Amino acid sequence: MKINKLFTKSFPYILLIILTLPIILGYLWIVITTFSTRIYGLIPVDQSGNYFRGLTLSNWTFLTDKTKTLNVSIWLLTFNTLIIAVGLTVGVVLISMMAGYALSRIKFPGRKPFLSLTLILHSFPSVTLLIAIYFVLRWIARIPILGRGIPIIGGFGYNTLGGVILVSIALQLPLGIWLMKGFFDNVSWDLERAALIDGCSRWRTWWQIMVPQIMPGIAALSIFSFMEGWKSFLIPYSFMTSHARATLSTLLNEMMSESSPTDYGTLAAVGLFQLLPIIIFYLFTQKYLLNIFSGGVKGTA
Amino acid sequence: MKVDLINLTKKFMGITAVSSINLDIKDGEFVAFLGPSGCGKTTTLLMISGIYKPTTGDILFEGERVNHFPPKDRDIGMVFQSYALYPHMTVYQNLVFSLMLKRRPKDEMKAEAKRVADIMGIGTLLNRKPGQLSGGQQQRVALGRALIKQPKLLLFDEPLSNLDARLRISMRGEIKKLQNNLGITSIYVTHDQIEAMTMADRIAVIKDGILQAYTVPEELHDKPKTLFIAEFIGNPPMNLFEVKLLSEKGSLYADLGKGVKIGIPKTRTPKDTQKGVIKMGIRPQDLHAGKDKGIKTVIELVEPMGRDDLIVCQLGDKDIHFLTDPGLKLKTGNRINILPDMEKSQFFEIETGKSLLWA
Ligand SMILES: Nc1ncnc2c1ncn2[C@@H]1O[C@H](COP(=O)(O)OP(=O)(O)O)[C@@H](O)[C@H]1O
Ligand SMILES: [Mg+2]
Repeated sequence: MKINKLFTKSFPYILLIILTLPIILGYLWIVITTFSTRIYGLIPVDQSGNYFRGLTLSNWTFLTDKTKTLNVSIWLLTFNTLIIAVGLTVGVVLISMMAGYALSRIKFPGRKPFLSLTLILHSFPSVTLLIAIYFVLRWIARIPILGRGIPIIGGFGYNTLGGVILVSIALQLPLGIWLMKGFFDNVSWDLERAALIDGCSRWRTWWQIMVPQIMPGIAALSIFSFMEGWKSFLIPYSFMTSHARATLSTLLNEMMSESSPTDYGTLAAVGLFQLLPIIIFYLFTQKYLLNIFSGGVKGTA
Repeated sequence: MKVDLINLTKKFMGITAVSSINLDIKDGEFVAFLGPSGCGKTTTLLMISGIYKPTTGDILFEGERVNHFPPKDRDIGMVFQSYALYPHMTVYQNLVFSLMLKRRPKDEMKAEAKRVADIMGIGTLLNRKPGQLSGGQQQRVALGRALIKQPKLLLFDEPLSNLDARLRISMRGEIKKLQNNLGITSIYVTHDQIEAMTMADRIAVIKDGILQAYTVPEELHDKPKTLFIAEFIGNPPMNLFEVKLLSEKGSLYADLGKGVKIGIPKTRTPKDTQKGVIKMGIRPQDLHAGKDKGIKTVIELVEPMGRDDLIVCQLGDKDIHFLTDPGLKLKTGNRINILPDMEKSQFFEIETGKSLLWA
């Protein structure tokens, strides 16, 4: 009896451990590799093959030197990545908050078709759009100032951070809008009516009464968008060609596809470097992120 | 504030929710909109508050057409069934929110908040969030929030429906007293006929978006113009059954079947006595257990209701409910005589449901 009970209790854990083992080993490998000259399995070895030797920090020199592959500072690439992540987050959250509210509360012609269209767009693989977007960005690049004359983000044209942000926002919006609409749907109409009767304008009702009710949703969408932007690869890789505008993801890709033999130690270190903020961020915010899946405002009584 | 509704109509995508309602509300009057759920009470109220625009028809405040006024320019306060307090603000912030929007000075907001908090007895709750209050407390805050604006018109949308029975009764009296003291013209929406009957000066009965009657509570109770009103008003509900009209030697009788005939007094002679079969109504409190006079029958069920016993028995072939004094200690199976007070009887046309006495 007792053993039986113990088994049923521990079974899920055993199963989960077995299933996650490959991932855990992978992370372990990355961490150990970054501090080793060579590695044998998960055990660091030195040049002459002695076990548990050859620990080194030389894989981390990219933090101070220019990266060998792209010949630009890693900090510039980090900055680029951060700009994309922040730009994407701000854009997606702002637009989704407004569009979600309108779609949830206001009746206007074309509302239903618009909703289904965004859903279709969301399930559209972005790869198929790359060439079309390329032409759009080339065209935007020709617009004075807006194209490539804006500080920090460069502009919204081809080969600018702003261009990548613009495209990423567009691809992320369907999810954001649906998410925000769902959260707004859960806020009672009476709350809004009370605000209107108290003397709020529509705009103020949205900002001061409605938006505070969906803070959990906004937090979730912000975190989700930030992570998307931080780790995004396809769009930055396709639309930013110059080395000075690369991101951490594109650097990793370059390192792997170099013609000279891949330096796995440095590759792992850069990978870990890109991963760390995400992990730290996730640890602090996972409680909000879970709201995406529960999808509602709780305790608004 | 005097309010007039003129041919007020609201359609939602072709479906008529409110159909050409006409009524007037006098300054300081307490009016109830009474009707079953889905009959268009809330829609009417939201049109008066300016949230919904009427499809056709007019709303007049003090004789001025206000159809196009936004809610904030209508001098109204509203209390919702769901309380609709702002969850992210404290009670104090909830109360003074409308004053804040009008950029009133801080001292004034403090003084006004204190004034309504004293009226509503919520002075100790000012720093709490709505989520930390009971339903009754939340509804007090909501009422305070409506009052702080010193509105000319108060709108209530089933404000007590979410409270438990005991609290509902005490709040009922409190709201009524408050309205009396402040003299603010009020419209009170409810589906609970007891609430409407006990609180309102006049009651507008609505069914399927159509105004059925608009009059004082006593008249609704004693002179129901339609079958719907007769069924809806009164607790326990009125006994209603079909009878055949018989005329013998110049006197009129209602035939209840199985040879039971009851004489109809002259004062209650239905219009159009040729009708034949009509609907008769008599309230449970208008039937009495007689000593030896009356119609003989057997008690089928006794339901103690506290102050009264509700008795179920047969009269002719009709099931009848009536109230008796529990002191009589009547039991199931007892033989009794019933004396209906026919001076209180009602008659309705079956097809139209119209009263044959008052319509
Ligand atoms: N915004 C709306 N859109 C469509 N139909 C509505 C809307 N509001 C109310 N209705 C319909 O109008 C009718 C009256 O509703 P309502 O005024 O809420 O009734 P009550 O408050 O008396 O219960 C109902 O049939 C309801 O379904
Ligand atoms: Mg309603």
